[in-house]
Amino acid sequence: MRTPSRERTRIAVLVGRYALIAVWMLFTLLPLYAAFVASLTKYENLGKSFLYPTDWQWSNYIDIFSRVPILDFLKATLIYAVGASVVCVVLAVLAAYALSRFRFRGKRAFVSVVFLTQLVPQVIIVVPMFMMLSDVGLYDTYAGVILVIAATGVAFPILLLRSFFDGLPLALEEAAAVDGASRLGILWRIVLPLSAPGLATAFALSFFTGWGQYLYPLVLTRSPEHTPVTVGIGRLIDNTTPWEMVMTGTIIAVIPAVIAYMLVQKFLTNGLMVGAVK
Amino acid sequence: MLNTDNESATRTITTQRTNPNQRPLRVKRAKSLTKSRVEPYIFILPTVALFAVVLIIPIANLTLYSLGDSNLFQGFTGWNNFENFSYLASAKFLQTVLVTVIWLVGGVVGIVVCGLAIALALNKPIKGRTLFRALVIIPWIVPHAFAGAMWSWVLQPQFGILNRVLVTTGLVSEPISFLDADSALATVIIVRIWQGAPFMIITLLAGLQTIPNEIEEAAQIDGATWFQRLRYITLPHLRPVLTVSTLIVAAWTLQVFDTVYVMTNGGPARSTQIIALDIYSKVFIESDLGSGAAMALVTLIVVSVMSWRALRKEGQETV
Repeated sequence: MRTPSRERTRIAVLVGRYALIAVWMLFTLLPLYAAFVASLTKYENLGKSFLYPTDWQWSNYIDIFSRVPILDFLKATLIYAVGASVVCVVLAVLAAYALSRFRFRGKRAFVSVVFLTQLVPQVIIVVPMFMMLSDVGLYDTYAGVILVIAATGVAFPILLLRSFFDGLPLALEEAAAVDGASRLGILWRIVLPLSAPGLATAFALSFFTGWGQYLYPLVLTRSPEHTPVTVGIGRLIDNTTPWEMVMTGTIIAVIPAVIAYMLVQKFLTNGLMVGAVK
Repeated sequence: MLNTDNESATRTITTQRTNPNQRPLRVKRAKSLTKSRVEPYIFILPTVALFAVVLIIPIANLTLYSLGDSNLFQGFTGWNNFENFSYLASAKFLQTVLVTVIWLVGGVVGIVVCGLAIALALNKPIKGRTLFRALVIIPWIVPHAFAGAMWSWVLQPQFGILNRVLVTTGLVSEPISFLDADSALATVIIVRIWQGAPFMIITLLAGLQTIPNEIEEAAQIDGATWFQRLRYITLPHLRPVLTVSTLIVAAWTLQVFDTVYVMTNGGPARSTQIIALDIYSKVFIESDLGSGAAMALVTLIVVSVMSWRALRKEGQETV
């Protein structure tokens, strides 16, 4: 018996979808897999086993600590990521609350400026910032870099938290206002506890932004203890790159970001969706 | 997202002040609000202050640097008759512009096409969808510098996995150097698609979920083909999300510095010298702050005008 053509189309579409997804997965995971294999290989054997690790050189993960000051790099990266996230989330909560709950002169202008900050390339800010931070004595400090990351990274958290606050019921806040609670009191005791998922998303987004910074710390710091892992590992790449070390360092530095992502995955995907669809 | 005066604004308590039939409760609330004129400004003040210090003052300084003899230690030292802007007419800069346009268009088109295809493939239930969705986002979390490093390794001529597979299977007779002058730009664009597509996939998946199932089913019953449904139902529904996401992705693509810096540093023969790299090398390698500032300023103006127009158009459509 002949399969009806509709049934055949359905199967063709399904096969097509799987093929597309399979190719994309391969493309997505290829560099991570290649990095993982290299991180488990001796330098001399790099060319020999490329499809799967054959010598399982876990010692790369120990050797890297003596060959590269990776702990210092990771510490700097963590300080940038957490510092920038804290600044971003605090500023974003306040600004997003104002945008969500008040009507005020200049609101439209403020939203436009927030949007515009997303469009300014980092390299344009970093040049004058280099000179300004030198003038005020913040060159080569964590604080200087954190402020710059926060300023260019605060837009997304603001827009995200704003849509999140818009979705919260007003009744509780009104009741608290009647009871004489102050605005900040309402924000702190009622809005924030209800906003845990939104806050987690905003924090995670800022954390990823801070974790991946490259240009700002590259230009705005000089000393080794302020070098983030992105810059530190990137510097190893030259004509005689120790690829097994670079890939080991990369895996070590990517893992915290992936773990952080898995922790907030549910919130993050929803948050991004809210932000984008709205 | 772009609409500032949406229902949330009208919902604010201030609007109820004029309500003639206020109960005592309302009056009390109204009182607390008359005091609150300045409150919204206090809430946005920290953000505005940060913007002023980190964005507005630096851009003003940058404008000044571009107008005269400037260096990284003293800043502006004296007027020089727009000499800095002469670099913008040079063949080198025109190559930068060309490379940047190819990078931007190639990256954004690639991200939109791949993002749309994968989002459509993942939209309807399929075995393993949750896992695929979780994996699909990974490149977006990987810092750009590491993406550059990992891809450099994948594409490395002697030991890289791609060349090894191609040579071993006999598909090519000798290793391809993916980062030589002819192919480097295409290669970094593909890496850009790798890292930019996840955001597009997530936002489009969200957009796809807002399409009511009934419409598609009705169209299917009426005998619409898969392509017709895509063309007349799915794409029109996706347009707002698609436009906003494309704008965001375009802005991010223009800003990329680290991936290309790590992979090629603008070379070989300036074939991947996108504008961000050109500004950086002008200022910090050639120590020509004036020309770098001029380039940065013009970039900023072009980007602002283009995005302002795009946003305005989008704003009118969604209102």
